[in-house]
Amino acid sequence: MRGICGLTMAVAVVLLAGCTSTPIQPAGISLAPNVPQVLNQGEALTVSAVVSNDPNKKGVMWSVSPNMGSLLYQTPTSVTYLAPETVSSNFIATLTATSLANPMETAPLVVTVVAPGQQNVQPIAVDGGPNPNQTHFNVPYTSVLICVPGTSNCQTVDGILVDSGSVGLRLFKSQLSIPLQSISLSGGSLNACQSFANMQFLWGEVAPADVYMAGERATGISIQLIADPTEFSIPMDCSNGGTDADSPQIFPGNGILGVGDEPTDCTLAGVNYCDPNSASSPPPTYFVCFGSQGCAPTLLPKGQQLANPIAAFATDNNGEVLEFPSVGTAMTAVGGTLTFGINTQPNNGVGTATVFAIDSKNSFTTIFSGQQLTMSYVDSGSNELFFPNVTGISLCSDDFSYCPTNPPILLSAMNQGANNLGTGTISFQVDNFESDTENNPGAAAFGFIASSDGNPPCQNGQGACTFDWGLPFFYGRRVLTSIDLQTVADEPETPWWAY
Amino acid sequence: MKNPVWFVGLGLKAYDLFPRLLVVLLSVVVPASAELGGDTASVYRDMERMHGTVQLRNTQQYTIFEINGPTGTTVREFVGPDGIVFGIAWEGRFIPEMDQVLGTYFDQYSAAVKAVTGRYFGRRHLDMRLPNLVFESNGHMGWYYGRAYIPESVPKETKLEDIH
Repeated sequence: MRGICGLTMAVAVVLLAGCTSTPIQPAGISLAPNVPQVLNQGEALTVSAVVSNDPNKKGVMWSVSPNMGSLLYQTPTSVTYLAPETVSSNFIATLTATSLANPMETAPLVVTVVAPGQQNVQPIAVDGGPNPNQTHFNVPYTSVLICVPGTSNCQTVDGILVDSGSVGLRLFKSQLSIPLQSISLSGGSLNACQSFANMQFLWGEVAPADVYMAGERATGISIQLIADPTEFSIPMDCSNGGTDADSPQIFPGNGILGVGDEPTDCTLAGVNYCDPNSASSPPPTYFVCFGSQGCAPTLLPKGQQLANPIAAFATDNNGEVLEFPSVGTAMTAVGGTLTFGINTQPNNGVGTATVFAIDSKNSFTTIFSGQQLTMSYVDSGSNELFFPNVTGISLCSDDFSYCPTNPPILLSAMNQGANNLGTGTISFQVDNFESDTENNPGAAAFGFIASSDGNPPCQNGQGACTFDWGLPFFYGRRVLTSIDLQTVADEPETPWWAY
Repeated sequence: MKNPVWFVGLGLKAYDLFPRLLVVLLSVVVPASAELGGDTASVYRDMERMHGTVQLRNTQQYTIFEINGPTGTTVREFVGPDGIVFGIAWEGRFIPEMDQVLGTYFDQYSAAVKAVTGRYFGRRHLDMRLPNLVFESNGHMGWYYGRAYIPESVPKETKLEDIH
């Protein structure tokens, strides 16, 4: 079984892929409290233990890993954990009670200690990702603490793609060691299907889990456990003739943290397309499966749909701020932050950013070289800028990426929010993809690479209508994404992007 | 959300309408579905499977069957004077069922998609020019759009950008 990794923010960038394992074996010891706790620096927490099969009342001994903070007033039935007086970055510690009568019996309690002002700050790293022998560039990764609901039976999963362009937490089941139970529906198992425009898809069971990030918690939310079924084939409604992205050769991480602009993965512009209260016909998003008898699409109450974990927080739940330093041409790795909430804390204000309203197609308009690209969007899960080749830039040998013969090319575009809410001009640079990648072997962050998103025109909503402002756009910026159906104080109705 | 209205057994054929109607908007609800390369009957099969409503619109060169499904996806099927579906286009919250709308072209499409996306592909769109089939898929979570057509079956003087 895989254990908790305590990471400080400072080392998280380097060590996201290097967690060590600590065995956790819940046994006849019950702790109070029994779910993960959040402490500030210098704060104390008293924990008590009861051992059920302990006739001689020997009780427990206590330990903490990593060895940060102190254990005070230790008795066989209680302890006080005192967080370090000064904490410069968030970390996770695991208190462990070990039965003195039977040292094989242990019980963990996970404690997140937050640094001042960091309660809502989750570190991110563009570091090439967790897949062996692969460097995925411009993919932002983070780690998430995930627990069996209502317990301290938890593990940290690292190498999770931070995606402001989708909704819901999806983890490869092969990465999970804790026993998450999938939701049962009419005697079948509940499964989710995520389709991408490139006809790749992700399939897997839906299970409730407690999700912890920084000092925030989303308890009992549905997540997807990505895995191929063993007793039946993935229904055609989901696969649709496309490619199962369920492999490290295709998918660049251990999972995906969808923190886009909707509260669930089946909501768009305030309408829930899967909830029986608002939908009549099930879309190809949720399926109930009966082993070898196969699957049928199903409606699903919104409370059981894959939730945007941020929207499920008790506080700081109306959106997020993604922030990266400038990268220039290339960097081996770069760290950034995912800050939860908008206008809820001193560190997540809109400030001087311009708000761009999102339309009912989850898009805004980018005006680029005379083209009105009406299906444009901002997306941390896109690893380049993708835009139609309006200006006739030379393509690389892959017939896709931009390889201008006289780099760099300096371009500009204007973004226009829905109903004209928000306009602004952006200048951006396009380098030669091949020379930037060849001159910077091993680099994971590239600031000036872009690819073609088809050839003009965009006409009548078909053709090349998308400017995808992917991760290079985020470098050197603060980009805010607000969540539909939530409210942001002092700002227009959600959803919107701001930068 | 629009509920489907059923209007069973209308039995219209697309080409029957050509001489009579120039710009007709029929809020017919025929069991809807057509497939690429199929005849008009296949349009109605598609519609049935989509539990959709259909609207017809005629132009000089072709008839458009617009199927609005209850899950918020619109599929337009373009039927030429020979009664054959030469193009389909879609947009909406969900990608339509490709085995249904591509008909006999599904296997060719599927093999080609798997060949190009069987590796890391990022958020790239699809734009496949196959021997007898053009397939484009675009969009992002929340809204998808795309089209497929049979180049050799597109009626003369039809602008490709009108397949939308």
